Amino acid sequence: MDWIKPKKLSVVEQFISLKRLYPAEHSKLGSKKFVWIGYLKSSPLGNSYKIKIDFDADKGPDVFVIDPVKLPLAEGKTGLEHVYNQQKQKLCLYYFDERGWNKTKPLSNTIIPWTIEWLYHYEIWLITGKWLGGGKHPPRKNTI
Amino acid sequence: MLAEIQKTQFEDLLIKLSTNLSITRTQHEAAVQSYKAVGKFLSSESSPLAEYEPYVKPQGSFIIGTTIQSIEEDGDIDLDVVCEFKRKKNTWTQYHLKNAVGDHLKSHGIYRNLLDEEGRRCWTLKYREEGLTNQRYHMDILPAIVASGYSIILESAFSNLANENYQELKISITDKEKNNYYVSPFPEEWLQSNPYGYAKWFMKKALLVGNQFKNLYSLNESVKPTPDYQEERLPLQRVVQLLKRHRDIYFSKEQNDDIRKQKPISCIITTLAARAYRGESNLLDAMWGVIGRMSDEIEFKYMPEYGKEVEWISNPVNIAENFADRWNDDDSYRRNNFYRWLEQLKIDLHDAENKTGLHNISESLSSSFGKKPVQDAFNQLGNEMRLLTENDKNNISRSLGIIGMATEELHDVTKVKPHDFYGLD
Repeated sequence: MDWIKPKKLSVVEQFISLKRLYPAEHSKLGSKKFVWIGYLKSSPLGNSYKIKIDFDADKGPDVFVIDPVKLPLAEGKTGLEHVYNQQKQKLCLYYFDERGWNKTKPLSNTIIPWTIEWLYHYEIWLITGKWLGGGKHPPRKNTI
Repeated sequence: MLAEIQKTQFEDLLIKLSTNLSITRTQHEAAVQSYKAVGKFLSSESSPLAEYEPYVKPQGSFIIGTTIQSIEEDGDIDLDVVCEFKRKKNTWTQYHLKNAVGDHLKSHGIYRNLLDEEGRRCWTLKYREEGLTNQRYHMDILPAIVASGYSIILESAFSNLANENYQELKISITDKEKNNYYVSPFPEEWLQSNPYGYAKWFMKKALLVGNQFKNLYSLNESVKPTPDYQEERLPLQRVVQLLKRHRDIYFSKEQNDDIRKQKPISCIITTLAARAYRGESNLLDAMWGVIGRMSDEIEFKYMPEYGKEVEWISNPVNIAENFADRWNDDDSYRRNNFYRWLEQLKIDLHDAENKTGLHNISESLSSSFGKKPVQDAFNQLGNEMRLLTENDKNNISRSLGIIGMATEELHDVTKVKPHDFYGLD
């Protein structure tokens, strides 16, 4: 028996489902991309952060923490954990395998919960100096 | 006031914090081994005391589950034990009994070196395990005479908490400052103490959670020859631990030596907390309930010697004894210290509760309860969250953030699907 292949979601479908569940402070829909800017709270006792999602039909979502502009670092650390870019605070939320995001999955129940989870583990890291959210690191180029 | 879901998160944090204040299984096991070794030495065939059947048994916070870690990394943990005798030489006075124990301890190469200056009622052994942190404790050994069949009476008293006869658990102890110390050979004329009656009184209050007895902690287990480590704690036990810890941190910041040395004693905190506890099953409710009502549990009695009414915190198993008698010493800071500390605790707990941002909550709790147990609590929270996600059991509320499994009464819940954070850093 053939499994029904999950349907890829269009840019509009992604945009609508995201905005319906997560009101945006600012949003803009183009033909192949959209921007969503809004606030996410890490946990009931945690902080709120201003988040920007740049979605591109070809490349997928890029997620940035835009406020605070510079997230404080844990004691003795020189950079954030699990980010693609320290300055832009661009988050690495998933690995490119079947558990990660792909075009069949709505951002609203993958990327957003993972962003919230990232923020929570960021706050724990700030306190303990340890990233306890799990994850993978690519092999470093300079290691043999 | 915290919203319900915030309260749940704060409660979880507070429970972990109080758990981190408890002694560890390793510390528990080391302590048990140590007092068993003392007991064995005192009762061994070669011991001149053997014929009086000495037996060493823990008492105090160790059996009611309220012992806490020292605030210093390598500080001492308190361990109180009774060295009970079923009989003694007829002519022996308190002086003889006390010194029979002391002399025999001094005859042992190791104990002689561990032995501290003689106390008013106890001998103290200061254990110093080289190289291991938190393997340091001091054992207060209280020589005592017990009634015949005491261990059977004790077991039955601890099994039957409804029975309110505390007097049957009394023991006779020695007291260097008592006028008949060198004279009276009759234990019934010696100072009477009732550590096991007190333990029963306390546990009766602690075990009554809501309106039913919680079989979470066993006194009989606590006084077994080799008691198991009891990891679970009842809300009242946790409250007492948090209170004692806050006291230790608060007075460690005090510059004036005299004030610092007169911090509120544990038995006052424990007794007032137990009297003020109303069976709250939630730790945060229990904390606020206890600290709000504690000072109302202090009685006032007219004392002719002072010509006025003074605070009276009666020993629940010997109401003629006032735990606060020393508040009336000349130039005593004790009264002020107690009220000042209690007010500060309210301020500090309120402050921690009203912070936003885990980091700010952590800073606030750390300054009140110490950095290490607070950091460890956040560590445990972080690990639990990761495991929940890995096991496909984690949730977010769209408006409140990550909530774990506390999804009740929330209408904007989404599951967190298992995934892997990736990253170059």
